[in-house]
Amino acid sequence: MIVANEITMKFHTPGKEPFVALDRLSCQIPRGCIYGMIGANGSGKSTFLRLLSGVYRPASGTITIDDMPVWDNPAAKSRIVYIPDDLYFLPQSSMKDMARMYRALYPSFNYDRFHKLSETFRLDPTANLNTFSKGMRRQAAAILGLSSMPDYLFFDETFDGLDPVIRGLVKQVIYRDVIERNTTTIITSHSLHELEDTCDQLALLHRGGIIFQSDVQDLKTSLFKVQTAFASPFTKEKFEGLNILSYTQMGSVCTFILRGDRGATEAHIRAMSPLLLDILPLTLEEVFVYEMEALGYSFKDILM
Amino acid sequence: MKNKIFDFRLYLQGLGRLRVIGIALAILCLTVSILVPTVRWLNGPSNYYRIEHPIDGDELIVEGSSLTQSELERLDGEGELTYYKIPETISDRATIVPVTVASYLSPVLVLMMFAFLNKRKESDFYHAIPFTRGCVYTSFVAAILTWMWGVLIVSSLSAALVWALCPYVTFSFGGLLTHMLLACLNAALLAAFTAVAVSLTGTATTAVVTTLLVMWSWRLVLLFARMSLSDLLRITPINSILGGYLKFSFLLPISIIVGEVTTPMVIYAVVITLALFALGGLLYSKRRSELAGRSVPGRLVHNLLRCLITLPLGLLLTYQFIGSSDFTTTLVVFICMLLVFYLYELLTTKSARRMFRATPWLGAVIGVCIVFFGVMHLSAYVETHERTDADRIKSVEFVNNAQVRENNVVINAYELSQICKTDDADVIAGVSEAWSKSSGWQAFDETSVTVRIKLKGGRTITRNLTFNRAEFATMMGNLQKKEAPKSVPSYDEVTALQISSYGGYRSTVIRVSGEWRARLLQALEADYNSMTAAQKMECFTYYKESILAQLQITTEKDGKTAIYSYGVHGNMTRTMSLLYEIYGKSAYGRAEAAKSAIHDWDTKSQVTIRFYSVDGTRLVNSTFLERENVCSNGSAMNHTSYVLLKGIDRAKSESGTGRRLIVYISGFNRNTYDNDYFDIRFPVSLTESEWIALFGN
Repeated sequence: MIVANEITMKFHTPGKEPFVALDRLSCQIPRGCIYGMIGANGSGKSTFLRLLSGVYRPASGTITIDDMPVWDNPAAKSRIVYIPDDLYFLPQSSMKDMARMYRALYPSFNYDRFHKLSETFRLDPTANLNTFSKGMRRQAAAILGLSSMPDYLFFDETFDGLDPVIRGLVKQVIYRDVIERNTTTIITSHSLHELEDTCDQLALLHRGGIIFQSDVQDLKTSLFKVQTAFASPFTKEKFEGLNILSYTQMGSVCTFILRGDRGATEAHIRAMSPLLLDILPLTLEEVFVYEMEALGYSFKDILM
Repeated sequence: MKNKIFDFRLYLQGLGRLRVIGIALAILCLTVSILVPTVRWLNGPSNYYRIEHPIDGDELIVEGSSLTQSELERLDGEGELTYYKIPETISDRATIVPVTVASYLSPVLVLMMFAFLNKRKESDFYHAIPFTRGCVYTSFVAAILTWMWGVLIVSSLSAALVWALCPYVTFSFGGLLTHMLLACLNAALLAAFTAVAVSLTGTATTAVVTTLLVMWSWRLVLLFARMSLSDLLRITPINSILGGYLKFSFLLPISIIVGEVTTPMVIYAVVITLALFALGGLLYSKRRSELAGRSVPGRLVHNLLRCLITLPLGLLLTYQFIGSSDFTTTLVVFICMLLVFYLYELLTTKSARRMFRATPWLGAVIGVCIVFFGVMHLSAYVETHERTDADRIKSVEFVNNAQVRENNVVINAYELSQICKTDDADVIAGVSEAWSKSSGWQAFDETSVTVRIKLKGGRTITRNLTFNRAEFATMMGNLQKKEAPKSVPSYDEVTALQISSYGGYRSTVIRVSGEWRARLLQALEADYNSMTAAQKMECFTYYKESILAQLQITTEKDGKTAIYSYGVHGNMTRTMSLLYEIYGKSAYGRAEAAKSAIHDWDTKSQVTIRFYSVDGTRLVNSTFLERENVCSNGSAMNHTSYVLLKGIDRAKSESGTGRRLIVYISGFNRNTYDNDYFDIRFPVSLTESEWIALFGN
């Protein structure tokens, strides 16, 4: 389990006030979880991953992985692979050269898996990485990371550059690792769509703090949209007793977003003899929008 | 996983990172190292090693070296000329220069190895790998040193191998090890400075600047301290302070270039190399990865750098006050200091407002300079007012050659070396009195002597003391009589004896060993002890025309090497007689060369001829002849030529009946000026009539 407790990260520039990238951020990420983190540029996603990987040291707070501190701790870091958004490869190297390097650095590196994944992704392990496209380099980085057989795998906006087919392949590998080895994966992105069908849990990062986090399934089922119409004029008061987050009405048709039990809500409205009743699921983005509005944020402002 | 301080896999990775530069350096260094002896080999034996007629017996006197017959290996020669393999000492810099130069390139390897600290993505990668930062640092430093030392050692040994195979030299391996180790230490020291710098900075440019600052800041402070103390301290020799630590060349990279490497310098280099590597490791462990790519590192480092950049000018400004410099110079230095400070701020912060906000740090620099000023003056005050009574002095040592020309007491350097260290009560009293009176100023009848005073408490103080010449001469004369020292080193102490001469702009050397050495020392002592004071004094005026040659005697006693010089002039008949024989036998006594020079007067220019009588006769006429181009006194020179030619042949064949001379001729061949300088001393034997014809007595 990853436990981050009140971590603060500041970047100092002489002559200026320090920039606070993370401000007393706390979270717990259980083993075997695929944890998604979204936020706008500069919200602190990459900083958070670097802290978890032991690249940065927090100004305050603690980060532990399975009760081990991460900073300068080879025992903890040997179980982590961090794939950043800005990838690094040895100059003039091929995937094979990098695999050799990874093998030297990570004793658990699995050459069989490396070769298999290279075949699956149709990448030539002997080709110079400089000849790869941006997407292919991300694939190569993912292959190297996955072949290291880590317990904790961090992707920093890696998925953003992969095409849907490759993304699906990577997801399959991750799922298998989660099932077989209880691997914990953290994926950051600035696009909710990328994470929607991959992650178990989602967190929204804004200005150095997690302002919202939840299980994805809970998110999807906790809110739903109701569209209904009545013969006689009505107002919002008609639906008193329901936990309505958003209400719009045009003539005799109203649409509202509410939180609650779907079955009970349907029964309640049907008892009112509506002319029309549709209960529709929300997209994750819509769920986020309404949840943020309930917290007093404008979601679109956060992600712009 | 244990927290290792070194990992072999990481070390191999480090070796791989530097393989391109390492291989390039190896090829370059190896090529040049082998090329030098190879070229020498291809050039064949030079005149320097050419020996024509080895003398009988076991000893051989040759140009540049002295060997026994058994030590020489005869090689094929050209016609009449015979070549012998001559020992080449490692002190010849040509054998080791490529390696020494290569050792100065270690900072480049450090900058390349740790270049990942200057790029964000690389820095993040290496900080994310499962090793402690200390382990990464240590493993990479080990890789740097492996490449560096490997190149230096392999190049040195390769050069040594080629030298060893070269038929015209015998390579001395003793000096090779010393030079190799020094080069390795130099490389390590420079790498250590750079390791500290890269751990502090975020770009290659600031790393280079910081390396220079780390390396030279302290040395500059010491330089200014030395300059200040030189001005302020009147009677304390500046080199005696802290064992010469204040010297700019105390740092090994400079002392190697200057060619003066001492044991304290080596020890100092070892200590600071280890300390700097440790400091570099500590800084690396604490370094924040986010510094990568930033020209301005953290606040602490930024403050440190802004002060260090300005400090040298601040100290120079302080020195202006200590040295009472003129107002204009002081003002200029002050303005330069301000410019440097604010320019650095402007370049790093790129903001005029922030530039001026840094002004308090300029105050800090000025504060340091004020403290420096105070420390210098306080040191001078303490030194000036320190005095000691005679009963607190255990012994004294005179460390420079004090030669006093009064009261017929002449003490040469060797005699002084025997009495220079003494616990004689009269001498101690004299020193104590001189110390109480010495102010650093010397009157016309005084002499300045450097004295090392050992106190009973164990402390040793060195001072330049002024003595009245006559009193000093008396004091030393009495000491000389008491301790009855030898005037010439004994055979057992001597490790080298060479005969050198001053002629034109080049000097020539003959090295003497074995029986010839023993005979020369004996003759020198007998001559010296039988001379008057005035005659003894003549021995030490080397540039006088009356001096035929200089005997330079190297001794080794109690682990210390010393060199003593004695000029040889006409009054030293025993020594002259031996030189007559030696010049006759050595290559420089080559009769043919002398005859050739005389035959071809017209092709010579700037010819100088001097005659030295072997039997002590003072030559009144024609003791010195000099000719430019064609001699106008044609008949006189022609006659001299004729006589000399006959005298040369007679000296070769005679059994000692004629009037003996040593003749010295030097000059240039007319058509080629620079390289064809000739310089020959040769024995000549004249009949009585020839003698009178030349000298009139």
